[in-house]
Amino acid sequence: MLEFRNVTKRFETPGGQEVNVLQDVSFTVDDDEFCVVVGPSGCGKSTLLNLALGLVPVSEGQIIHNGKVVESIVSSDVGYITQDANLLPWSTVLDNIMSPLEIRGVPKAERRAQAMEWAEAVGLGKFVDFYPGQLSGGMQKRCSIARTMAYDPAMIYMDEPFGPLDAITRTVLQETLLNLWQTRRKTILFITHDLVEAIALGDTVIVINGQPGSVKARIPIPLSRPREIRHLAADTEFVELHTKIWSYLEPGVESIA
Amino acid sequence: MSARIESRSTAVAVDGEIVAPKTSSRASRDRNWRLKVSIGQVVAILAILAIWQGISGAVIPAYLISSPISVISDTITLLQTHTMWTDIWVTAQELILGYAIGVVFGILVGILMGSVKFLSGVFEPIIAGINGIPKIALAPLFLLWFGLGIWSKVAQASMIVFFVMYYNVYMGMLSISPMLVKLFQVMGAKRGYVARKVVLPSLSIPIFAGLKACVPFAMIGVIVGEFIAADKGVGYFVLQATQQFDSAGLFSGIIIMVAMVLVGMRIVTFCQNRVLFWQKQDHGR
Repeated sequence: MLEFRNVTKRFETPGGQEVNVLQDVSFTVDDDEFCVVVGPSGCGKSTLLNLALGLVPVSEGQIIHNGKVVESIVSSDVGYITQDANLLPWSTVLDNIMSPLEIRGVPKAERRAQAMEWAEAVGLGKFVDFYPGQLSGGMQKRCSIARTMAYDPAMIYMDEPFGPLDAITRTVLQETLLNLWQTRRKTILFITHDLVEAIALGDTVIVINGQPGSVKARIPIPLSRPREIRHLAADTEFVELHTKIWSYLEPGVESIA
Repeated sequence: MSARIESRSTAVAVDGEIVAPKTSSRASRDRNWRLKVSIGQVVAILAILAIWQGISGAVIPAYLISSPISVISDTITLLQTHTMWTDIWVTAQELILGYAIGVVFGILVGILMGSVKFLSGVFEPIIAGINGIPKIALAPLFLLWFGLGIWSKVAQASMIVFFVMYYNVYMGMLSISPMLVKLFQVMGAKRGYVARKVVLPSLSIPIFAGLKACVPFAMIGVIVGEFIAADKGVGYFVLQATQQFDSAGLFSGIIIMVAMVLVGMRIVTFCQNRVLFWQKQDHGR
């Protein structure tokens, strides 16, 4: 379980002034919940993830991860999938997927077998000997998802993982992610600026807006699973949710764009 | 349609399928092009040599510029003498030792300064200041410290090589993706793992850039050292030839130096191809 308790984050500008990026943010992510944080650019949602991972310290408040206050880099039983695939360019797909297993001291034969299994699961079975530079952006992203799933962390943080991809690849990967998550439940905290993606994936959508960013709404998504993302746009329930969430995003959005 | 044909002409993997490699007609066009370039190079070199041969004696006195024919025959004669090979061996030792010492210290100091912020804060301006010295001006000092033998030349060469290598590695350290390092820390990697699997491979490109740039620099250091004071070495031989107005010998010495540098570069390229194999695979993303 992950809990944000009245978290505020301040940064110092180069001019020496203090700017609040996040203000009094509180919410919880339950075990095995797919929680999506959505908000316009500049609302501090990526900062939220960095705080949760302990990559930067909170200014006020507390973040509690599995009963422990986050004070330094969280590295036990968590996965992190970033906007860029962040693969090792000098390692093959298989070696990339094996690296967290190697860190965990899994014996060589076993980590090979596990990595192969995950490469197959994300559709990279034929490409295990390729280098990242030989893969398309979508395939690199598949590889980074396989790398995280391979060591089976209980919680995964995802920072706009499908942001740089084209619409078709994005939809296919969202479906892949949901299928993986349905067979192997995990707690996911997923950051995005894409409303459709937020509704399509999440059990819960948390809307962050404003400067400094604060929680505007916590909206449960009652859409039944498994969901067919490519046909969601025609679903009336989806359209209602979309309109509702937009209403929380509207104030202040013009000033950003 | 035409876009699809174009995308098929390079071997890139796109979601789900491996796209066919180059067609044979393109390969034969590539071969023709390379052949044309090679012929052009040979013709250009022959033309330069012909002009040199033509003006030697006729326009400019032969004792100033010699001529290709006498330089070639001189080089062949010299390479049959024992003393020339002694000179080459001495210069080679100075070159290899000076290069190796400069490279090793350049890499170590570069990594150290790139990883400990306090050290780089203190020492960066000092290193920049020392680098400001025209290093050739230190040759007499090295002679005083290390004597007439090979070590004064080794010191001169390594002094030049060090700075080139250091700046390459230091800048390489600064350009390592912090995100990649953080990601591995979240995955649970300890410092040693990050150093071996992320930092060192990231440095391979700046290190090889430095290794290549440093071969001719090391030769400059060695030859300057031999010019100042020596009794053996290719630089010493060239100086002797100059003092005896033996321009053919002088050019032969220079040819030998160039050959030695080229051999060094070949060795570095050979190693580079084995280490940076992953980079060659990189056809457009």
